[in-house]
Amino acid sequence: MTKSMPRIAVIRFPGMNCEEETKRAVVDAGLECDVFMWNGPTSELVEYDGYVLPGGFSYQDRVRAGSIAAKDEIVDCLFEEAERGKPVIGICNGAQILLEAGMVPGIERGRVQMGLATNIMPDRDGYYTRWTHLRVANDGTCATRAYERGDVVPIPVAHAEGRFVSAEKGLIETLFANDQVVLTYCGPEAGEAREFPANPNGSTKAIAGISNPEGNVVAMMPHPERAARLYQVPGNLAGPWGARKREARDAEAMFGPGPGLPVMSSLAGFFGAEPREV
Amino acid sequence: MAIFQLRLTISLKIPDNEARSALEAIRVKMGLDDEVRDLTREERWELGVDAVSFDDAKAVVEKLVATTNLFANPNKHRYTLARADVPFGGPDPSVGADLADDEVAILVSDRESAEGDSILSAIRRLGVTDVRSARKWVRWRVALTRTPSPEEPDLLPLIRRIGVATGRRDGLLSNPHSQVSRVVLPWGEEKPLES
Repeated sequence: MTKSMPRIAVIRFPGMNCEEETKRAVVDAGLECDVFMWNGPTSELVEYDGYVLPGGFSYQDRVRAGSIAAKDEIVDCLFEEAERGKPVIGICNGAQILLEAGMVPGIERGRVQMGLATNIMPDRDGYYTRWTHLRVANDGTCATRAYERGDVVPIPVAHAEGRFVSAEKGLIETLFANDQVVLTYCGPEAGEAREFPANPNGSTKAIAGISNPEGNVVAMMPHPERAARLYQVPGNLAGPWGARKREARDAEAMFGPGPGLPVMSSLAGFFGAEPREV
Repeated sequence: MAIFQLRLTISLKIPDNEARSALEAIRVKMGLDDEVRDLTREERWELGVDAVSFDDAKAVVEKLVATTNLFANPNKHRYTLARADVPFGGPDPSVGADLADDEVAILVSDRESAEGDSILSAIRRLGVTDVRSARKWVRWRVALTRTPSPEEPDLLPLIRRIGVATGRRDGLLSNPHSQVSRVVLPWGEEKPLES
């Protein structure tokens, strides 16, 4: 008897716009995946093995990005399923929802302990998008176990509110001590991203993604689904992935795995599933 | 030359979808339909302008507002511009001056005034250097379903439940890690909302 593949639900809140490419990346990683509407029955949602909250503009970013979606009933269900150990990955707006819901950093369960504040960029304001380099700081989470600690991975960001901040004294230091800082912005050669544009939003300690203490809930601002295949990588990007793109000569190479696919492969690895050949 | 402090207040003259969404979230998603009747919103900019007189300072801001769309879009916004009678950063009687007996005002701003810095950069890119400081506050005007009294011990906890995000069911209008907030009560008392 063949073991059925784990099923992932990509949650679509009103105003999200990355659910289909996120689903495609999850499927490419070897998992079954459905787009699940935010107002769908939670009795069906609990049947899934894991969850991805994709990017976009839930509720048009009204009040604060992610703040209204965080109050939806479905988030209660996601919280409970995460407490049972199921993996939950929030990407960009999905990350904003997880922070506003207190699902990460989760040191005090369910308490809002951080915010994703308005970007701070010299002589710029508002929405900002660019390819960033990320250093994998923890390779044990549901979103990073297919990488190795210290890997440098190019993945694009696109947001106006992506600056990880906390008013709780010592919380950021605790996150580093607990290995809950999963991804940090860096230079193409892993150098520290002290300032813009390597740190694209002024995020505290260049944090790009965090997890709960158990590592089964991860909130990350970069968009791995936009780097799931090599053809999505810009040819002028510094570092080995840019070189790989420049050297690609055929469709097989172009449609091969990109630097962001291991985020979804990590999800597959969480269940012991093998990545599908892409 | 001296720094004149001006207050620019901007509100929508069309229906405010953001306020409607926030009201729905508070009443339905957060379960406070017995407590909150209505919610409206306006932006209040605190501007410091270097000028020889208040009238000159006002003219600088008037021109920016009327011609650049940086602060307001004349197709959908209305605005008023006035001298700030009290120094920025302290209690401001104008915040609560128009509140009804059953209304409170919740003021929210970025902790690091990122939006103020952004608009200052944009103004400087236009070659205008007279505007020296800018900070944006959002004033939420919350109509309660009853008239509160100063003796009510549960009033401030209720306003915090509306105003300060602490969990999935509690707090919407500000995130205490990225924003500061304060409340003005109908009798004029002003308090910070973060506990």
